Amino acid sequence: MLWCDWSAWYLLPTWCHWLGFTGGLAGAAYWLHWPRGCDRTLYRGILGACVLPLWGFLTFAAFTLGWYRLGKVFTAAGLAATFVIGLCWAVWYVERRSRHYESATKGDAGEGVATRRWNPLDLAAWYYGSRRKRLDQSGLTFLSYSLCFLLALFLAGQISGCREIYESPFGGGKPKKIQQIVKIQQVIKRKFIINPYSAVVFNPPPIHDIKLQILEVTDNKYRVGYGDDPGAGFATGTNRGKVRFIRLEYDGGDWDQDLERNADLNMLLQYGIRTKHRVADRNETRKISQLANFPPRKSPPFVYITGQRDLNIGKGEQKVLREYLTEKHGLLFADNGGSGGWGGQFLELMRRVLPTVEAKPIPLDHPIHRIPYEIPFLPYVAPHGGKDAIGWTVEGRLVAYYHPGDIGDAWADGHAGVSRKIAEYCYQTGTNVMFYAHAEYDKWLRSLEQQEQ
Amino acid sequence: MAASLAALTLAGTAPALDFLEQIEVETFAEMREVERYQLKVAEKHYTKGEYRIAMDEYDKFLTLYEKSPGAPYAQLMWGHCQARLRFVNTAIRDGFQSVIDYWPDSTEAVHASYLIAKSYDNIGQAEKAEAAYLRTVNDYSTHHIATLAKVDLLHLAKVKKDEKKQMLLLADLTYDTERTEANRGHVVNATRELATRHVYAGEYGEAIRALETSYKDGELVKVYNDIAGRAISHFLREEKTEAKGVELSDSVIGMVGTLIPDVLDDEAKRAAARDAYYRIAGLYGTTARPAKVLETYEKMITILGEDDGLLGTLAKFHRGRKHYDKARSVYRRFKNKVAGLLAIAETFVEEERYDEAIAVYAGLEDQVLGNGKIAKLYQDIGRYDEAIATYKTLIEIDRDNIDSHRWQIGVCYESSDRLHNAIDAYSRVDDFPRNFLQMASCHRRLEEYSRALALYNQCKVYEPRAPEVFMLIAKTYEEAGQRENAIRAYQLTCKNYPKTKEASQAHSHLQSKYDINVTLGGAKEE
Repeated sequence: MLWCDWSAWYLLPTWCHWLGFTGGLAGAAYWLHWPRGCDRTLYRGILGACVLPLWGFLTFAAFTLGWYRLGKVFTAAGLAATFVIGLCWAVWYVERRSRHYESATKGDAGEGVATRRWNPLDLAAWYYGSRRKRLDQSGLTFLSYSLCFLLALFLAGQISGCREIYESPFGGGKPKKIQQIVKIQQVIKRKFIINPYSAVVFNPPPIHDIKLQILEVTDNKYRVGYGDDPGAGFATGTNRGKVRFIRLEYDGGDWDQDLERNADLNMLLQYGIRTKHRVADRNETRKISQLANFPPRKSPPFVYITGQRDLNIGKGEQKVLREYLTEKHGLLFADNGGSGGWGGQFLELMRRVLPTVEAKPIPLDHPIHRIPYEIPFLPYVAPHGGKDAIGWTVEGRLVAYYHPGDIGDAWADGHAGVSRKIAEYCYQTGTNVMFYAHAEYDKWLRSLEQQEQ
Repeated sequence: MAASLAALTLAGTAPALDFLEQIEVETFAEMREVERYQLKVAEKHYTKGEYRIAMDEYDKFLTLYEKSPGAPYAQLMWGHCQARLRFVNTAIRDGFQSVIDYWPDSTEAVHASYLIAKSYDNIGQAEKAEAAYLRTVNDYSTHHIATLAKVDLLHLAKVKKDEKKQMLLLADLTYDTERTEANRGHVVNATRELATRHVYAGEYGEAIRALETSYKDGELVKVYNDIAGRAISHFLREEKTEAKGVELSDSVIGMVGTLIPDVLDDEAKRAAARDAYYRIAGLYGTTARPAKVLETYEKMITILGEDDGLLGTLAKFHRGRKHYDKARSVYRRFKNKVAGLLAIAETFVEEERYDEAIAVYAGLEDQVLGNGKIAKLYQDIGRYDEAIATYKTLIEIDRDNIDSHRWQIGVCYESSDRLHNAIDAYSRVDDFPRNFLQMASCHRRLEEYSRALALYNQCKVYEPRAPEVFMLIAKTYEEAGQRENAIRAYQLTCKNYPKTKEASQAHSHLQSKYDINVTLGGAKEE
């Protein structure tokens, strides 16, 4: 259950997961010590079962700490270990039952009429023939076990979670540009007071000749958000609401590009610092099909997708994406992570998702490029698919924003070696897109509320 | 005098400026010399792509000569500059809309009205664009701009897959739009599209009625034939519509047959007959009736007499059916013997009878042509030694193209893995940096990496290919196993040429192969 919640249901907070998985590990350790001296088979059974909490803890810890590659290794290794352990137990059980039937057959020898046996655990089953019986039984055991394992794996993969909720942070503010203000700070220099009655005559400095040191201090003087309520946020948000950064998983390529380099997390934190909105503690990933788990008015205002290899998205996922963009008022933030091929595949995907909407370059004076930061030119790390951002507009609202130049690389640790200025513009662009999506979502919710009133 | 001056000025800049970016000749004639000078300065920067400077110059014009007849044009061009700089909303709000607000009766206001719609369309605001196009159509219904707006509305309807609206707009453009010299192209295209839709729907009478608005008599039949030809192919693809295709084809053949004059007493009539026969043969070909095609060609030859064009078509028909002997016998009847022999050789090549083809080429009087063909054929079929020998002969007899023949010798050596010889051949060619790059490529294949790098480093000075050369240097280091140098070279590609496709490739390569995120690229302030 804990595993399902962590990977699909997302109902419990992270600390609960830590507690649960660590507890499971502790339980397994205790369990390993407890049965010493007992039956060897039982001990081995416990030993085998302990692999599961260990596997769960290691995978959970690796993914939660942002070590995605290590997490993948643990996932694969755990899967292989589970398969092998299960297979060993299956072989042990079949062998044991087989011996049992063999000894029973010997006891019955010559007593009755030979009947056709069907039980696969019995070596005398007719379909094993008269030669290589044991080999045939082993083959059947391996095949049956493998099929069962694959079926279980398939069923586990179908767990897409029940219902999930996304809530924006509550607050208010105006969607306008961030202004820079200058604070003048008077710095009084240390000065010598000369006694004017002294016998020494010289020109004393005028007492009020104080040099002012002007310090330019940039401060975010206003609240970024949408609505009249106090604090930075959105009027339709909630007090427990947070801005989250959700990346989409897909088949075929490297959807997790730069994830280990904390690209998403850095962007999320920067968004929080810049807008003063409450943000989640960590970035998240979801399969496209999991977007269907969000109800219409509580779905994420934006999701992020990137990569540089193949982009295989099936018809079912395309339908979920279409529903998310048009009916749930979401925004798809796509970033070409490194090849013209990926860009072409993404444009083709959008043609299938939104067949009646044309892709058009987004002008630099579009609100998404102006609020809260005015972007003078589109920043990129490398021009993988042109130098213009491309957008898909439905009813005056951008539903997809395609960045052609690997903006995620500039958010990642090390910023891909781009200049500080470009890295800053990349963060500003990311902030703008995230803010645009949340503001548009808020507008939509408010309009729905007004209609209902 | 002034009008001719304006015409001269416009003639000088017209190719660089779109119809919606040009000033009216009459307006230009009314302007003072200083005003014209200021506009020309702005226009010079605009045509060079220096939009920021051009924008300032148009702004200056508006400040200095606010009452000038050229002011609405300057305001319109200011909007164009903003749009080019990707500030499209500003262009709409402060540029085009201002033209309409301040100079509502000017020609530029008409253009601005359309440009507002077009700009919305360009940034994907389809609903706003549609409303603005409709406003333009209503406000300036008799102006050419209304036709442009209707064409764009048609495009929007196609994107939205709104069939009903598309048919309405096509009918409007075909039947209700007044035809002028300016809008003729758009209206005729709409007419053809409407007719095409009618043909596909099986409404042949409606299709002809639509075409009658733009074409007369023989021209109408030809256009109908073109449209119906595509529809016939479409119908023949499915069994249930096959009969429909054949029926349409026969009716079109009947119509085209009426274009053949009874008496062929002048060249125009002969040309008309030839065109009609070709069309009939084409329709028979589309409906897979080869005997009828052949019959039509033979009838043409009987009526119109033999000529190389006609014989060539007949021979091509035989070649298409792999009847090479028949094709050759037709080619032998060519009046242009050289063209006939070349075509015969080509048929031998198609049959892979190379020696016979070479014998035909060798029989050509023009030795340069013959040897050139022979050398190319040897090269294509992998007989490199014979190709090299032939190219060497060509060097002797065709001194004008010596570099091309030497290059081909290099290619032959390279293809046959004699790389040192290839390097030698390329080094004799006077074509920097192409030859150096090819020599370096050979050195790389020979694993002589330092020599390859030396050549690439010389090529770096050739600026247009420098990004590519940097990438090749990086790949050479990579092949040589010098990992650090390769990484450095890839990073330099990103750093020095951040806007190029090579920067994109280098960036991806560093990430995928070396797992290096710091690629040193990034946009530059523009």
